[in-house]
Amino acid sequence: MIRLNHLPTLRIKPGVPRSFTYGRRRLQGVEGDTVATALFANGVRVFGRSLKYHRPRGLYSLDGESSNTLVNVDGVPNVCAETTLLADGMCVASQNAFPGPDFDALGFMDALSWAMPAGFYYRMLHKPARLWPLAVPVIRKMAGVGTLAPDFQAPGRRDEIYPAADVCVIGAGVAGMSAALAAAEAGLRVVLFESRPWPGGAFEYRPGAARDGVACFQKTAELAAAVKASPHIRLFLNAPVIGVYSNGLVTAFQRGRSPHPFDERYIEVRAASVVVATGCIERPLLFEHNERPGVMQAGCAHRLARTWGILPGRTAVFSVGHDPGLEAAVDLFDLGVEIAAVADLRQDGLDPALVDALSRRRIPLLRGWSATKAHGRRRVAKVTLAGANGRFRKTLDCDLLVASAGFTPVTGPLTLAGAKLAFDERTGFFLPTCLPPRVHAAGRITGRQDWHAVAASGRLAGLCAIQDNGIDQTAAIGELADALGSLPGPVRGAKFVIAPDSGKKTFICFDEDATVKNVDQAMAKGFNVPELIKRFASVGTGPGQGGIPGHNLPLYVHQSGASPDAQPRPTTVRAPLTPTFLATYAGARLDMSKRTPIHDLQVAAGGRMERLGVWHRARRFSEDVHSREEILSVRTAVGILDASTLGKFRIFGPDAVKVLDRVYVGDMTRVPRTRAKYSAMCNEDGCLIDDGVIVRTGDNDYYLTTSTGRAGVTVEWIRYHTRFDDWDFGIVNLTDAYGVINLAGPEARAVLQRVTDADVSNEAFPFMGYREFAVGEVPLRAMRLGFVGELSFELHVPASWMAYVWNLLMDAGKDFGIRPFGLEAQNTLRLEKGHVIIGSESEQRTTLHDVGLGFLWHRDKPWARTVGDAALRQTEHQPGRLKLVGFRMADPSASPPRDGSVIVDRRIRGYVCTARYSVVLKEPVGLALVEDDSSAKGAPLAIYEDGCGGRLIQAVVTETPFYDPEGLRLRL
Amino acid sequence: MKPDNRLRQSPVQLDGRPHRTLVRDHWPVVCEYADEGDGPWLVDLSHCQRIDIQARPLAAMIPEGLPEPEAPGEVRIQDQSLITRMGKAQACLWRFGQAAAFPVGFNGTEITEATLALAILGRHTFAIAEKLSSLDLQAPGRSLPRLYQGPFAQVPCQLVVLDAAAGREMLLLSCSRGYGRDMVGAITNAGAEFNLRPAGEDRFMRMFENREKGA
Repeated sequence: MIRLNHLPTLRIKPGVPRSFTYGRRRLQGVEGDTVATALFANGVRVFGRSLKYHRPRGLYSLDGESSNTLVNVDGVPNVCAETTLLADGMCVASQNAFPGPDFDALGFMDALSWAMPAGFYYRMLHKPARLWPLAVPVIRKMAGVGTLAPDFQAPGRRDEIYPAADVCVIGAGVAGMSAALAAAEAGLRVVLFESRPWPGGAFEYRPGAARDGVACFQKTAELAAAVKASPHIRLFLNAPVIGVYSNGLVTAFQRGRSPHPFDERYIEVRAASVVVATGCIERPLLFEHNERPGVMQAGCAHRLARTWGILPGRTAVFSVGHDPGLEAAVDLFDLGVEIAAVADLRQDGLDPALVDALSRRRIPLLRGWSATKAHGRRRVAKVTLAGANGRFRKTLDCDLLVASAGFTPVTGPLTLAGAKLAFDERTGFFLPTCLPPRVHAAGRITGRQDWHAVAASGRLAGLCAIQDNGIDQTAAIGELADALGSLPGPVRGAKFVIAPDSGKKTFICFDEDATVKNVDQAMAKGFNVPELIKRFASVGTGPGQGGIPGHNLPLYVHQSGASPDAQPRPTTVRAPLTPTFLATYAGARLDMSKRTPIHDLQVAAGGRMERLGVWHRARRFSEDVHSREEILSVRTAVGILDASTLGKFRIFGPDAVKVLDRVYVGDMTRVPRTRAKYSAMCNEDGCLIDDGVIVRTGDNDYYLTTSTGRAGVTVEWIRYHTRFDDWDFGIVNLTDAYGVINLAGPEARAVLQRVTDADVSNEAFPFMGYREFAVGEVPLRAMRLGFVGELSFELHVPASWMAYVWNLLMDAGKDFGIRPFGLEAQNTLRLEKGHVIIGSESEQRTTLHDVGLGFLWHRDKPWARTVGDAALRQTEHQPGRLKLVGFRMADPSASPPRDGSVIVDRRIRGYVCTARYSVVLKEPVGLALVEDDSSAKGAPLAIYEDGCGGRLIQAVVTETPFYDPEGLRLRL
Repeated sequence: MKPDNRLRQSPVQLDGRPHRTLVRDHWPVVCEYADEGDGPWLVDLSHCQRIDIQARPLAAMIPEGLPEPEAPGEVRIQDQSLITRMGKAQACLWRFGQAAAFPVGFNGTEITEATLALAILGRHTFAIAEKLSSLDLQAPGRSLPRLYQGPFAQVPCQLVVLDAAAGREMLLLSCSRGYGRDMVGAITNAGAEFNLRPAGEDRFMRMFENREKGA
């Protein structure tokens, strides 16, 4: 197709070709084309097939207001051709059509529309229920809009950005740019979003003169130049807004591709003031076959010519309801389109200059007429027009039907911001009755259509935004408001008209193939408000996000008389206002995790790393999922574990001990200088939330450890539970400051002694002792603990020295067969010893008493009541609680049940917390939480395991610990 | 045991070729990288001493000779020390260059080992930062230097804006040490479009000293 290369409004570079493929065809567009305009320029008129009826669909709007032009681009389905800029080498394919959109094998579905009434899914397949699983795959296959594999990864580069702003303006049309410039002149930082690839909005392409005689597009271009020159305005083009929230939070995304370093990026702005200047879209005209290829909006036809240099058709009929429609007819005539007739819904109120212009060109103007039916199978061939009463009709040949019922404001951002909308009789718009604080509406969205009035309303909103930022603008706002009053106000809108023959194939929602008849069916079923009809008939629930039916549905329902509301009421708008990829929401896909100081050493040693919470940790160091060799190494020689993820804190100050007494169940006044004290924390319900050790490192100075999972919240927990006490203490999170090495096994002492001059004998450093000494001249903190049930040294090493000390110990332990062990081995080792892990052997309801740790509780604190104290008193002897018990299998050769398996008799009596095969004991052992009447030693437990086929696994409650019950090995 | 061979490990390794290095207090310090370019730059300062100070009143615990930031968010600089006020009773002291011993009775907590410390310097520093944080690091009306506390690359951080003048931008960042690798990865990715490169400690010190001189 030959382009109109001479127009000053063009946004393409005709001399810069862009090659792409469409199906098997190799086509060419030019720089500046969208996929849709490039296809249209290459003669493509049927872009795809509709969802249910497989009707041919073509270019209708140019801003993605419907799913008509969804295509597959480079393997990604459901890409909107209207808003996707063409790139060299793109592979474009149609979707939902076989073998192609021009001839679709499922095109016969259109003739079966009678079988798919409103609520088809609910009514037809509701019963028998067994039909549903059979029907779903078939329906999805026939009605799908592209397919995605569950493991599909969106291609392309995603990014995110959080620009700082004082004012956020949505829409870079004349009003939006005026608002931005006003705010920028006051030195405020402005972020300006525009969904199109260039600023200007509705006036950017229009050649009609403004009140001062200068063409609209020229005046708009001057405004755009000023915006681009302003250092205070950041203009994001091709950036549709997704959502608007309270406190000035606005989210958007920006389409990129070269030269941008991203394909799409997520944008989030929090501004003190928000200006919504999103303008209007055109309200679809309702008539039979109103979505036939060749039917398009006035703005679409006009922009095709003015912006992309493409004539939308050879012979056109216009059926419009606004002056820009008349302006488009005049301009397209001048550009070479034959205009057979212009029908205008309005009897009066037409711009006399435009009426005169039509007359001078001998274009017939039919006042009060509109299209009633489009004819043609795959594209428009002729159109029937009728007068208001339907008595007079004309049928005209054409290949283009420009149809528009008038404008409808894009109020989605206002609604999301919290504005309430009401129907305005004059404009026919849903307009906000009151705006939330620091949110302003400007421009055509208010019903104004005059260039100067739109600009002034934008500037007024800009001044209000300045005021929101604390700069007094009272006088300026008053002056401008007065000036705005002297400019043309909101324009009277066309009345809602529906052609007399409309119904069966008059589409109110293109995306969901929902017709006026479907709406009638829904109302006949008793659904009498748009919100209900929307759901029952699927009107406005497609990818167009309600753009096409958003206005017509409430007007039609109201006109029907079915609605109980006195005025039309719009349906609810929700984010995202413009659909985009989930991958775009993920932005840069930051997955921030923590690594211990010896992460790489563990990987090099064969560690199988797993992500546990924020940390990467070694699960095991061999292929053996049971880690038998690692377990035996600890039990018979020496093993070494990286336990750096433990929470570590310093708490100090005159009131430090009071703080500890508040959050720990034990008596913290009795923590000696050279010993570690094991204790636990409960929540207000007496339920166990954490355990660890506390050591006193100086006067009013303590060092304590917490579980890995609680490390991140311990400071807040402590601050929260001391918030009213005005105690003088400090707390520092040292979790990352120290790495922790657990050296465990009968040979642990011998290994440690090789690298330190300190006396680590049992006499000098007994069980539960705490010492500070140097290893390889690195000062560290050491504790004699026994979580895995063997002689153990827990060494707290400054993080930067961890690798050095770990390597020293590995070298020193070579002669003793030292080997690293991971979490799996640690889990089995501590299970054999009967030690609990909070979260594994406890859950939300588990108290200190339930897991047998009641002995830690000190009832009579001198300082303050312990968190959870009252609940511990109440639950101490409460019957019916789940108690932690050990169990062995009735048949020792049986496999251990899976963690989480339930314990049953005639009902669920508890569940297995952890069960493993013990290499040392040569039988499976486990810990379970069971009802107290099943917790006595020798009580039988029947365990139901997923996949057991009804054969319960038999176990018996037994005493713990399973291994070394006297605790002798801890004290070696 | 040969103490001279003992080396500490920074939580991060920047992807560049060190041109000049030294060992300070057992920390291997990269003074300069080969081909540092024109900026922006990323500098690892994890070896620099950081001390957490908590006391009521705070002034009682600030080492003699150092100024006290009066309100949360304020930052004071003296010589090669920087002190930030995080809250009513908490501050953080940074010492660039050689670590210093503290007076008897000083009860601060050394957190050098607990945290990662980075600096992003030069042009586009804030363009990189706005890709990683919604914090308004260039809010008008706030005097510099300024402390910000909040998420950066989704990680709780302390951020000090030292300078925002064009070409002299300086942003200090500190977070939990364990996030080191992912934090550097996030900053490097965000800075790729601006040609972010690693730079040595000298680069930071030059800009820091120039800033102090008002150059």
